[in-house]
Amino acid sequence: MFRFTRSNRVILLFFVPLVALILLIYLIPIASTVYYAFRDPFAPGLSFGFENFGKIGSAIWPAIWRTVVWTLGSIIPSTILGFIAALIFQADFRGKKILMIACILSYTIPLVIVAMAWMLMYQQHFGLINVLLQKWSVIDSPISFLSYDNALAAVIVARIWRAMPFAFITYYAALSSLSDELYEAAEVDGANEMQKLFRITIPQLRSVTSVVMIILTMWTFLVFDIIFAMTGGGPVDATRILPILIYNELFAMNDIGTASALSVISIAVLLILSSIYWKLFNEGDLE
Amino acid sequence: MSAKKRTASLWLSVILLAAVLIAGCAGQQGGGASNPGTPQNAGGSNESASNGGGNSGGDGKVVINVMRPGDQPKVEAWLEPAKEAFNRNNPDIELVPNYEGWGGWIQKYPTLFNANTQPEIVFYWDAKLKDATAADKIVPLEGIVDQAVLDAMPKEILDNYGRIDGELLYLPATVDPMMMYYRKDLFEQAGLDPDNPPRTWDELLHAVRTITEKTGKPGIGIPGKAGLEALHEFISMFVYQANGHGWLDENNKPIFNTPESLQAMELIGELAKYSQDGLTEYGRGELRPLFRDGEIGIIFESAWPIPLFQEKYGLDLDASPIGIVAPPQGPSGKVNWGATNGWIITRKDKAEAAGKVLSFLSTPEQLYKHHIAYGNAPIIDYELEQPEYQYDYWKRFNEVINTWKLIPQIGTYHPNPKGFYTELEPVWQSFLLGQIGPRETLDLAEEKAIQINRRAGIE
Repeated sequence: MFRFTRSNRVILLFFVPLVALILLIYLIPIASTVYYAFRDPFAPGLSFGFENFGKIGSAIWPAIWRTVVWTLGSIIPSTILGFIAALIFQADFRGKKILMIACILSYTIPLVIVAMAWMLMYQQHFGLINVLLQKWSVIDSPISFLSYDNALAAVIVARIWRAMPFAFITYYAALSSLSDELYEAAEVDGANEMQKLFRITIPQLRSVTSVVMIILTMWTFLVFDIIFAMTGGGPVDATRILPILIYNELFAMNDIGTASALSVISIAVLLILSSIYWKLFNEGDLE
Repeated sequence: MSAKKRTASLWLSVILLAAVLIAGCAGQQGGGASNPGTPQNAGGSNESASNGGGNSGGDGKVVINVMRPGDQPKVEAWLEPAKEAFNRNNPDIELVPNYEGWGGWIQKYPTLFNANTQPEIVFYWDAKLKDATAADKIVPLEGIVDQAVLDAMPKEILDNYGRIDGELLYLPATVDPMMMYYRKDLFEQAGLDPDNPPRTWDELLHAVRTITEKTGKPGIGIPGKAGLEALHEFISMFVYQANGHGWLDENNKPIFNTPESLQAMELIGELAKYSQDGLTEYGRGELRPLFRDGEIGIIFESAWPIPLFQEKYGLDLDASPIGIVAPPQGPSGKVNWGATNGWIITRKDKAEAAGKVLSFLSTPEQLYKHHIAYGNAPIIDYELEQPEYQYDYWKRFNEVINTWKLIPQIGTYHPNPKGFYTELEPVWQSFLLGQIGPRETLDLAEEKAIQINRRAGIE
C-alpha cells in the first residue's frame, strides 16, 4: 500500500512538473479537440452529437485512403532503403564518413525547403529532372510529375528522400550493437551471408523496425508542410490528405468543429496503424 | 539518491516548469493589442512576422506595422523610401514595413486576425471587408484619413469599393481590371493580324486555336494552380462577361448557375485544349516568364506583370512584341473582372497614428510611386501626367477602369470569401482536366457555394 512517507512525498514532487507538462502539451489539447469534435454547433447550450462528422461525410473516406497510401507508400521504402544503407555502411571503406554525411544531410533540411526544392525539380519546363532526362534523350517530352495522376507519387518520393535518413541512423546504431558471437556461431554452422541476414540480422532488429515504423508513421501521417507547399492538396484532390483537409476546414471554412472531428478520426487511424505494427513486430518477442 | 542530488533534481524540475509557464505567458502578452508590451520591429526590421503588438516603442514612438503583400523586391522599392520619408518627418510615429508574398498572406491573414496579432495597416481586398475573421477589427476611416486624400480619389471608386452601408472602411489604392496580353510575333507567325487582336469570344477561340496549330506553342496560358486565387479569377472573368453580374446576389445567394455561365464554361473548356501542358502546375508566376519569352500566345492578367515585361522590353511595351488590350467582350458587353486592393486600419487604439501613416501613403505622389514600383494601373489624374504613364497601353487600362463595369471577387458582404476559393478551385481544376463536363461543373460549384453559405450561417 502506498504511504505518504517523506521520501515518497519527495518522489511525488518530482512528478509534478512532468505531469503539468503532459497535461498542458498533450491532454488538454486532446480533450479540447474531442470536445469541439462532438459539440453540436447548432443546438443551444452544451449539446453533443455527430453533427460535425456528418458535415465532412463524403470527403472523409477518400482522404483516409489517400493518407494511408501516402503514409505506407513513404515509410515502407524509407525503412527498407534506410536498412540497406545501414547495412552497406557497416563495412569500412574510403570516404565512408563523407558519404554518411551525404546520406543524412536531407534530414537536416526543413520540410518546406524540401518541398520547394522538389517542386522546382519537378517543374515541366525548367525543372532539373525533365531538363536532364530530355538532355540525355531518355524522354522526348517533359513529364508532368505534379499532374493529377502523378502528384501523389511525386510527393511520396520527396517524403522518402527526407525520411530515409532517420531509418538509416536508427538501423546503423542498432546494427553496430548486434553481438558478433551470433554471426561467428552461424559461420561455424556454415551459414552464408543471405542466411545470416534473414535468420539473424533481421529477426534481431524486429523491435528496432517496429520503433522506426511507428515513429515514421506518426510523423508522415501528420506531415502537412511538404504537401501543402508542393501541391496545396491538389491538383483537384489528388494529394488532399487528412492534415490538408483539417487545415482547410479550420482556416478556409473557419469551422473548428469539423477540423476537430477530422483530428479525432486521424488519431483513431493512427492508433489502429500503430497497434497493427506492434502486433506484427513485437508479438514474437513477447512469446 | 543523496539528499543533495534530490534537492538539485527538485529545483531543476521546478525551474523547468517555471520556464515553460513564463514562455507561455510572455507569448500571450507580446501578441495582444490590449496589453502594452515590447513592440515588434521597433528597430524597423524588414523580417517582420506581422505582429502588431505593443502601443509604443522603447523611445516612446507609436509603432505602426504596414503589411503590403506581394513580390518583396517590388514592394520594398516603394515602401522603404516611403518609410524613410515618413519617419523623418514624424518623430513620434514609426512606420514599420511588413513583407509577405500574396500566397503566404492569403494563408496567414485569418490566423493573424483571429489571434489579434495583425498589423495596424493592411493592404486588403475589397471583397473581404465582411470576412468574419477581420470584419470586427476594421476601423472606419472618415475623420482619420486626411480629407484631401479622399478628395483626390475618384469618387466612384471610393464609393463603390470603399463604402459598406455608407461607411468608409477601405481606402482603394489599386484597381486591377483583367486585360488581354498577346504576343504580336506569335500572331504574325500564325497568320493573324497583330494590330487586330480578338474582340469577341469567337475571335479569341479562333486566335488561340490558330496559334497552337500553326506555331506549336500553347495559344493561351491558363493559371490552373489552386490556392493562389488566380484560377478562380480567370474563370470569374468569363462568367461575369457571360452574365453581367457576379457569383452572388446582395444576400450572398449563388446566382451563377445559368445558361449564360454554361456558355462561358464551354468556351473555357475549348480554350483549355490549347493551353500549356500540365496546366494545374502553373500559376501566374510560372506563366509570366513563358509569355515574356514568347512561349505562350495569350494570357489574361491585370497590370501586375508589367514590371517583369518592362525589364526585358523597356517602358514602351507598345513598341515591344507584347500587345495589351481590353479583354474580348462576352455576351454582356463591357463587363470584366476587376478587383481593387486598398488599405484598412485594424486597431482602434492606434487609429490616429495609423491615419497619419495611411494619409501619407495615399497622397498622389506616393500612390504614383506605389503603382510604378509594383506595376499597377494609374487611377488618378496626377499619375496620367507622369512620364511613366504616357504610353498608350496605360491609357487602355485607364479606359477599362473608367468605362467598363468592373465586378469584384466574391460578394462584398460574404463572411467567408476564402471558403469559395478553397472549395471552388478544385472544381475548376477538375473541369479543366476533363474529369467533369461544364454542366456538372456548374452544378457542383453551386452545391459547394450553398454548403459554404450554410456553414457561414446563411440560409
